[in-house]
Amino acid sequence: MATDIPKALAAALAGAPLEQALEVAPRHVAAVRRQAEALYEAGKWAECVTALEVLALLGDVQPLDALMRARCHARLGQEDLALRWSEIAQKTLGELDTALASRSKE
Amino acid sequence: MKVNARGGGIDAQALKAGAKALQEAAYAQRDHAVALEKGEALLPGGPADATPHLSFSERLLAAERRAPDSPVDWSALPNLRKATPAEIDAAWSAGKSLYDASFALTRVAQLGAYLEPDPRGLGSPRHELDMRNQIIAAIDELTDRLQGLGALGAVFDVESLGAMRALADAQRKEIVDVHGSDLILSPKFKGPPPRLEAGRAPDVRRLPETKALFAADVATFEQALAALDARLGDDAVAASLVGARAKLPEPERPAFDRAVAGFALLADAALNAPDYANHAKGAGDRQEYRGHRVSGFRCKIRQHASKATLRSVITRAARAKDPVAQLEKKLLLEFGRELGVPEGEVKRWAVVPEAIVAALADETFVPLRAVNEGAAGWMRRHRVPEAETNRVVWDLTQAVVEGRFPEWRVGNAGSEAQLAHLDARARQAWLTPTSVNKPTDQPGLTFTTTEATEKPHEIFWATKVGGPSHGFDVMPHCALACFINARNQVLLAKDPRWPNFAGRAYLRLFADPQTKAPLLFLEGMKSDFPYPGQGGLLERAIVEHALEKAKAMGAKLALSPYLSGHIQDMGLPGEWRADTRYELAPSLLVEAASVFGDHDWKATEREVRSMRNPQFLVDTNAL
Repeated sequence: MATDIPKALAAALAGAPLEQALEVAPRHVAAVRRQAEALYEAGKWAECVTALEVLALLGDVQPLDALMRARCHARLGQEDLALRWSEIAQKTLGELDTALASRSKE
Repeated sequence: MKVNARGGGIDAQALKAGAKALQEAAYAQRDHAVALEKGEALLPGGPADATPHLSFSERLLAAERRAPDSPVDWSALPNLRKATPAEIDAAWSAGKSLYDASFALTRVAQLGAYLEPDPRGLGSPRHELDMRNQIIAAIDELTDRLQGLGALGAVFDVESLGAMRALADAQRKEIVDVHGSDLILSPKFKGPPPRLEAGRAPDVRRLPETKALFAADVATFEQALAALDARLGDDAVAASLVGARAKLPEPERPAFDRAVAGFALLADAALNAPDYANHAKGAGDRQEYRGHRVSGFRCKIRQHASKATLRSVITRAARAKDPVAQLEKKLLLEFGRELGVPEGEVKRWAVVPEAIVAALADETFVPLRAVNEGAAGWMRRHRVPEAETNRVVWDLTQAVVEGRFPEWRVGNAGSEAQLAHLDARARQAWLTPTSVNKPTDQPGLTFTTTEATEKPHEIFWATKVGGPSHGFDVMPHCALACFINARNQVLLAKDPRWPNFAGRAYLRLFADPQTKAPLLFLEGMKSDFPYPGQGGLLERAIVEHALEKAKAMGAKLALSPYLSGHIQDMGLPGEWRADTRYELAPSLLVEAASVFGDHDWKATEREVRSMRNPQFLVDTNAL
């Protein structure tokens, strides 16, 4: 959907007092990251999506996150979201692929 | 997202439920993260596990690359198909698009909290308008920063961004309709006029007694020897030094004495400094450092190791064929080792004994150790590899121990870019420290302001005044931004009755994005935490200092709204503006200026930023 802004941004615009939730130390971010990975491997797809959303809110976005989200949504049967995140993953990884190609030429 | 019939409002109700769920999830995640740290279950009810990031990435990649139903088409990704997770991470760090996007998103999320009226009823209507204005500015900034990024379409689709911008414009129009202007000065900036009395003399007896060693304490060989003996507690050290000195020809003795003084200062600093590498905390203020007055201040294991190493190194150097050269060389190596710099790096540095002793005498040891042992960890948050941060920190440290820090600070590539827009007059004026004397209401008592670059190493303690986030032992990468960027000056306010700087304020140099004319910005003053005096007069002196600087440079000067009391009291000519844009030239590594919204960020690219609060643009021509 063209006007479907990301959930995190929607949350922010709704005026929720997110500041306190955002006040986490780097070590907490790393722990949430580990948890997202563990949730993924445990097949807890919905919880993993939430963890990835929180990580994005905390400014921690990693290269394979979009791929993880696409897989999570697919497993949850959320086809629209799976397709959307597949496109995001393809685009993100496409950029990385280009970057890797240029790095190997250096 | 819904836009109401007038096209100017946000339907908060439609978004509230999702926000609440997300907030609760965030709290739960944080709580669970804390539990993880305590060694509790990684999964609710499951066993503890600590899957390393790379192992997970490897498994994910291996599974997805061969999965027939993989969400991505790997045939279109020939390089990624065979790349390792480490290579992918490196490529990701080198890029910035999604990373920047996520930061811009976080910024809006932080400000979004204010868009709705405060349910606790704390905000006045004007305050709410101001907050609403801030979120609009953030949306502007978000859309600006995301424009042109490669991952734009991946994070936000273009139509959403257009809708966001339209929404922001409509909101701004609504504010202008209600308020008559889109510039709202929050009530928090409208306190009573500043008190300009000097106040009673601060009772310095309440401060910790100074125990740290200073240059004057090691002015003679005998003094230095006694100080070393007191700290290392080893007769063999003193005996070897006395014996070596006795054999030296007279002309070589001053250099020998200087090296011994250097070791005494180093031993004192190293044995009493926090062990930042192992998470020891610093002290609250400079006098606590000088008084060695914080519980858990020293790490005993490291202290014992340092003591043993220094004993051995000094004794062996003193017994060497050329004891002066050996002592000087070892002083450099030990200084570097105690700061946490790898030996291989320090061995490349020039041995400049007078510079090392000067650096130690100027109390640079603690800030340098904090930055060396802490900055790289913090910069990982900004996806900066440790090696990249360390390179900058080591270059800075090398400049200090080689006695060329002031030149390096101004001459490094980042600083050169930051000063490039200045003409000769403005450059000269910016780089020439000035001072303002401010007589007080008490006879014979004058406050002064100076610049932190007036003395070679004063800047290292400048931000350890109030704050506290820019203190080198709190967020060392933020202090680093001050140390390495010539665009950042710290104005120091001094009360002769106080042993440290009584206050400090950042004076920052930017450029007008259109005209490239220099544009100064003065932040509000931070007082030294234990300083009990009135800050009004000190802050007034700082404002006057900045005004003189701007006039000397022929530059525009913007003042923080936290200085509004002085602006009004002094009747300064100018106007409040909320739309000023500031161009920031690249830095070697990092910038820290929360006036722009983000507290600190990797700042290696040219940027144009706006501030989150209105600023008062002084008409310096009318002064």
